Amino acid sequence: MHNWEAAPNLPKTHYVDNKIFTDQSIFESERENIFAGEWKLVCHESEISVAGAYRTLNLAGRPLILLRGEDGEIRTFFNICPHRGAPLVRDEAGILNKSFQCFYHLWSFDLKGQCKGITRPAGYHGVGLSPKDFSLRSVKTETIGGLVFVAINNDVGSLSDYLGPLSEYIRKHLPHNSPLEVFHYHKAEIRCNWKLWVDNNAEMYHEFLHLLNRRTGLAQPNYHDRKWHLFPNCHNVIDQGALNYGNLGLDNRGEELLPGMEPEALLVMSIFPDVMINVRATVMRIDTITPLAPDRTLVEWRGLGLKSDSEAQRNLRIRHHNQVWGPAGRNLPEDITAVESQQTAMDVGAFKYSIYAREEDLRPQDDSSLRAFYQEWGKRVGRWPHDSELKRSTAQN
Amino acid sequence: MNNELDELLVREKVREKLLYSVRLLDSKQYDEFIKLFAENGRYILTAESKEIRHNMTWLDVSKTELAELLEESPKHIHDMAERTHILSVGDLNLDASNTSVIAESTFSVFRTAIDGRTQVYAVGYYNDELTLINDEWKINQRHVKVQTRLFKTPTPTPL
Repeated sequence: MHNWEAAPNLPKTHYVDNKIFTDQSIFESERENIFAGEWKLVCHESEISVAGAYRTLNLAGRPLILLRGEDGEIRTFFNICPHRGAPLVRDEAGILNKSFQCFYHLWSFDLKGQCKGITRPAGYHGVGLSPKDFSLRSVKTETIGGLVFVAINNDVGSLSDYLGPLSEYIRKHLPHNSPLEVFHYHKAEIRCNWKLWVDNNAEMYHEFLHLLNRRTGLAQPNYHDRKWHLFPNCHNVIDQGALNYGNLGLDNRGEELLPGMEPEALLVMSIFPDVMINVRATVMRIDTITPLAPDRTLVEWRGLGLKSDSEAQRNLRIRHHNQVWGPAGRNLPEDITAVESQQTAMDVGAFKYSIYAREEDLRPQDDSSLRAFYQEWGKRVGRWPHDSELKRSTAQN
Repeated sequence: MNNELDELLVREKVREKLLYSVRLLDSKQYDEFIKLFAENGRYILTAESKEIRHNMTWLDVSKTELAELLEESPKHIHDMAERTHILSVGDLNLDASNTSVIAESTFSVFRTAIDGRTQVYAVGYYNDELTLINDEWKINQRHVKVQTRLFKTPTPTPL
C-alpha cells in the first residue's frame, strides 16, 4: 500500500518534497538566488522597436524599464527616480520623446539614463548638487536572436556563456537575418507555484491531458523517437517531431514555415529557470514567468511570426496560433486547471511528494529534463529538492 | 407613424435576439447559439494589448468552425464554473429598409466557481451585424472587443 507520509522508495533525484511549492522562505530564496541572480528573458526586441520605445516590468520585485535609445541600443534601468524613488514611467509600454520626466518633482533624464534637468536647481547650489551627479541605476542587458535578457546581478557572466550550446538553437530558430516579431501577448495570474508551470511546460507525459495532443501528436508513429538534449545550466531542447493537425480538423502546417522548422513539426526549447519557446512549424510561442507568491504566478505568453510577413502570412500565423494557444485556444484552460488543482493538494499538506521517476532514455516522456531542473534549482537555492529542510553546502554543489 | 412603430418593433426584436444570445451561452445551449448565425456568419474576438501596443485577434472563426469548437468543448477538461452575462444593448443602427442592423452593446461576464464564489470574469463590447433572413434576424458577424486582458481561467467558449 502507498505510504502517503513517507518519502517514496526511489532515488533521491526522482521525487521532490512538495514543501518547495508552498514554503514562503524558499520562495524568497528563489526570487533572490534564481530570478535576481541570473540572466532572465524579459521581452522580445520587436516590442521596443523604435527609438524611445519602452516596456516596464517587474523582476524579482524590482521595477524595471527597458528602452531603446536613439543609438538603437536597448538599455535597462530601475524604474525609480534617484531623487525620491517615484516611478519614472507608470504604464506598461509607450514611446518617449528623447527624454523622460519623473511625475513627482519633474526631474528629467535622457534615454541613456543620465539626469538632464533638475527643477529649480538653484536650491541645490549651496550643497553642490547638479544633474551630472545623477543617473538611473542601470541593469545588465544583452540580446540574442531578438530575445532581450537582463541580469540584476552584476556578477553574472556573459549571456552567451550562460546559454551555452542552446545559443546555436536560438540562432537557428530566431536568426539575425530573418527577424521575428511579437504579434500576440496575454497574461494570466495562475494560482500555483511557478515551478508547477515549468513542470507543465517541460514534461510531455502530461500531453495525455490534451485532446489536441492526443489526436495530433501522441498517435503519430514517430512520436517516441525524439530525444531530449540537456545542456549546462539546465537549458534543454527536444528534437522536432511531425504532428498531424488534420486529425482534429485543424489546418496542416506544411508551408510558411518559421526558420529551421520542418513541415508540421513541433519544437520545444527551455531556458532555465522559466522560459519555454515552443514552435509549431509556422508560429512561435514564448512563455515567461514572474513568481508573485508561493502559490501565485504571473505567466506571460507571446506569439511570434516573421517581421517580414505579408498581411496574408501574418493572418495565417495568427490563425495557427489561436487554434492551439492564446486565451481562446484549446490547451491553456486544461493546463491551468491541472496546475491549480495540484497546488490545492499541496497547500493543505495532503500530498507530500511529487514523483519524477520516468526513465525512457531521454525520449519525450522521460522525466530527465525535470530531474535536471530540480537539481539545478537545488544548487541555486542551497536546498535538496527531495528534502527541502535539508540545507546543502557549497561543496555539495 | 407606422414607420416609427415598425422601426421600434424591429429594434425590440433585435434587442431580444441579442439578449437571447447570451442566455444561450450562459445555459450552454451551444447548438441553439450557433443557429443564431447566418450561414456565412463569423465570430471574432479581439483585444488591444497595452504591453505590445497592438490590436490582437484571439479568435476569428466561421460559423462552421465555431460549431466544431463548441461541439469539441465537452471533450476538453473545462472550467466547471458557471457564467452569467449582463448585456446592455446600446446603439442600434438600422438601414433604411429595416432589414439589417449594426448593434453596439457592452457586456460583463460573471464567473461563479464551484465553491459558489462569484467574480467578474470579463468586460467588453459587442459589435453585432444582423440581417433579416426569412423573417428572422441572423447574426452575420459578432465582434467581441474584450477589455479584460488578464483572465482568471481562459477558455475557448465564446464570451
